[in-house]
Amino acid sequence: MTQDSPWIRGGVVVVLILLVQEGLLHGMRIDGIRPELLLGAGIVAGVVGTPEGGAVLAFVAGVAADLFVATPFGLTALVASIVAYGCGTVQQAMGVSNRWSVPLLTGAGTLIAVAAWAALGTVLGLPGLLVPRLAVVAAIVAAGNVVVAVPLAPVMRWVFAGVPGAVSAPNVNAGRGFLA
Amino acid sequence: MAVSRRSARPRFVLLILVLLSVTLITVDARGGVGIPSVRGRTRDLFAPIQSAFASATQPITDFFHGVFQYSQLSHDNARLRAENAGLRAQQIQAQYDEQQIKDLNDLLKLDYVGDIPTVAARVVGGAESNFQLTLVIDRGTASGVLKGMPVVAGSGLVGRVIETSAKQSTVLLLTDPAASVGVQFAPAPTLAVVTGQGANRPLDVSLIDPSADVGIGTVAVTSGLTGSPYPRGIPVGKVSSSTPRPGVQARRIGLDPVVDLGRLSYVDVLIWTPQTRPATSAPSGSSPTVTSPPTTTPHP
Repeated sequence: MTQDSPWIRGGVVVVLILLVQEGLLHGMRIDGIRPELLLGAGIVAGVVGTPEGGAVLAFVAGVAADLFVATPFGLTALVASIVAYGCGTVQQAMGVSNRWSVPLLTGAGTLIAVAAWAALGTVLGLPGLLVPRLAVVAAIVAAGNVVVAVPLAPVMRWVFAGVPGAVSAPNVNAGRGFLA
Repeated sequence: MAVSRRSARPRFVLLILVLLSVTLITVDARGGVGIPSVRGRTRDLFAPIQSAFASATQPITDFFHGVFQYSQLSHDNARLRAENAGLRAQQIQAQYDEQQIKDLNDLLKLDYVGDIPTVAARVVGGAESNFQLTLVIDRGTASGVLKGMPVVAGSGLVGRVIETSAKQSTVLLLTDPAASVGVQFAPAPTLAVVTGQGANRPLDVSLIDPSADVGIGTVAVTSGLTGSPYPRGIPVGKVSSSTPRPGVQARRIGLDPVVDLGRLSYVDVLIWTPQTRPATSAPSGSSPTVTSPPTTTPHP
């Protein structure tokens, strides 16, 4: 493993995002809901990287996120890796990357991840998760991740640079048809 | 063949990750093998970083808070001054009542919450998950705080400690759906269980005698029954609503917490666990003895 290995770059990025999430944004709340940068980073990795690479990065980010909460350890990692893999697979199936695909897939993936986390948490015995408030939590976390997906996309492209199958920079013309 | 192998590899990686996650969840559910320790050390590692960021951003936060909520703060200030005047008078009465309760508890050989040693702690963070109502305090095992210890603020119950590290602890608030407390209502010793319903929602009262006389404003205190994670007599909340449940001979009772859980800056951790509770249940007929204060569990 060389210094240019995507795993080293990915590890550095996860640590930096962890510092931002648990340091800079530790006290930040929107309607009592905190952002989930680590989840967003994992999904973006799946979309702009490869499904398997994104799943691994999302797993590591999920384990890091699980270190700071008192909920079942590994639950965030499980959900994040599956959703990152799924979003990456959808991106590959779409075949084309435009300026909207990364934020949209990240937002949709976050919605699914938050709902899946609540459903699995309920199965594991955590009470009071499947309540109307869940929709608000999912919407706010997803909105936050749509925003952070924009700066995270080039970072993840750097992480997965040179990896076969990774998505290159978006085709800016591809989005015009979408807008029209 | 090569194509088949290539498409199977990502799914194999995902399968490995899923199995790893399930293993971690199972290990954690079974008590951890080092997971609580790793969590604690990570939190302690990040505590100074979080504190530094909080100190750096606090003036900005306070500035915007002051600008946008000036009229609210002025209103709160006037209201609190009026409340303070009333509370001074009540304090004198409360001191007398407290002594009477203590004397009665001594006679009944029950432990009194006022005798339990406490550790004062500062609230350094809110909920760390979007799915749990918790807060983080700046005292941990190094200060004698252990998992399960009750946390109070002023004269009311806040919750209990669910995670500890050397320097910090996580407190599960009363309002979290996972929190339930055995309570009794005064003046009649009616027992019930109070469960959290989420932030800004009243606590739900269940398992209560349908014929019990529990009116609006009745105070519920911890029952402290054998095995309870809370000592007896900590105020939990006041009854704010009592409506009949359709179709059954029961009522839906809502309870507002005594403590404003959304505005906590400092709390007290009661150095008390069910294991440290003194032997208060002496057999009937035995000679009355004065209850000694609970002892602290040895620090692990």
